Amino acid sequence: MSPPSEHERHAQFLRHYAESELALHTFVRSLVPTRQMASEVMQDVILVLWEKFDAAADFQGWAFGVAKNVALRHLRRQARDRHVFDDELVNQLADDAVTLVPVHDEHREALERCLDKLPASQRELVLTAYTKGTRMDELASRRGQTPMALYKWLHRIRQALLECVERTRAQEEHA
Amino acid sequence: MNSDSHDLIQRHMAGLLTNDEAVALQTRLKADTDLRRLYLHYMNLDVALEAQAGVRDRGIDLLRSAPMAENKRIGRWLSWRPLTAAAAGIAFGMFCSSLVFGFVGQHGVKKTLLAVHEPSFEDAQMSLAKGFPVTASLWAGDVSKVVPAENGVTPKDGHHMLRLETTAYGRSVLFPRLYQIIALPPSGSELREIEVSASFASADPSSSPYYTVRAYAVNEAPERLGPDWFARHWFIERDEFIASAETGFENPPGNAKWQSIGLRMQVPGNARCLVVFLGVKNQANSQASKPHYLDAVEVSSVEASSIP
Repeated sequence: MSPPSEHERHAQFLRHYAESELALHTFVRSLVPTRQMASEVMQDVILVLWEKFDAAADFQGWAFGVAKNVALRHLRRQARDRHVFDDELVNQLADDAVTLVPVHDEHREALERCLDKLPASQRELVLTAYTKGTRMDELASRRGQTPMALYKWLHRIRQALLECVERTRAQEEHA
Repeated sequence: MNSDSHDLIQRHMAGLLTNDEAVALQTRLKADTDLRRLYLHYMNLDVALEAQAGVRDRGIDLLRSAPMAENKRIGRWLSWRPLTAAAAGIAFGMFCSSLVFGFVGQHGVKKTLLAVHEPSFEDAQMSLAKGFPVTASLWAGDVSKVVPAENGVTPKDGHHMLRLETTAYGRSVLFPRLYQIIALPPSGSELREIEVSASFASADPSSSPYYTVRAYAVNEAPERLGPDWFARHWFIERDEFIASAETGFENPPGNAKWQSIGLRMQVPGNARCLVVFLGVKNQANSQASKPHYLDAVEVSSVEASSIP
């Protein structure tokens, strides 16, 4: 059988990547201290994935391994920062993250419904806080709040959303 | 799980932990499976909220960019993940050089060549920095070298061309790349058209490399882009990235001739510079032992002439 053309390989890669993208991003996010660093690691991860992509491989398992190695490389550059996890914890999180992939898929599905249950103004605020380029100090200032008050509000909303997605998932399991 | 655990994790997410708290979190995560599970749930929520916000944001930008539908890509929603955009067939198009230049002579259209540093790679001593250029009018990228005719390939223009290595330090380079930042002169128009073209050849006619030309219009000054600009923009959208276009061509096996490919894009008048990206993707299963060559890079601004 002839090897796939560049376009076929490209299409295969995109399909696999699209299926695993959020799970990979969650995994990377769990390993590094900030969302920005997670984005940076993801950029390197996807480049390595594309360069080394083999359509015959178990994509998700392989991609998690690549992501862990790329994240470790980034983390080692900042090894003195105490906010950076060491290799032992990274490996523990890697093992746990793989087992949680289906749970997290369900959480993401439930999130949209849980966001819909929030009052529109709160939903808008939480999404604005998560929009790239939003500065929390400026957002807080626009709302006449201190940044710390906004952070605390976001803490409460996130905890409520997490409880909601877990509750929704449990209800669907028992339905 | 007690509220202290939620608080600790969330303050970690926000970067608000002290060093001692960060050490305590790490120790507790190592020892407590349930806490690791909660931590991973929060991380999943963080990523999912970012994705939800991105969907909303792209929806807004889609509405904003609707009148510009003829553009290859304008607005952040289309800059989101070039691979995805490529799959959707948004950004790709190929023009042979005769077509690129075919419309230049159209009545009422004025074409101005923009200053590209070493467009034909005639300076055999030209140094090439690794990575993304630190300033405008410099070539930078992966390992490459200005060379005269070699390996059966003669320069497209002049006496020299750029050799893009497919192996470096004993390892394959699957996607040799080259960048240049080009400062755009002020434009009185709301929109102008920019053309970018380049010629590629391969020393290995049995391979089928994929030649790529991309251009990104940016409303930041060139010196503000920084060395990590391209890495960030490969998959992550940013506000200053206001238009982009991409074209590519899979060179059929057996074709050892120069291939001239180019793109034309509409660029908002407030764009201050153009990042030009030229690359060659090797097939992963190719031997990638012979280099590719680049020559005759041209960037032009095309504006409607005031002459009727």
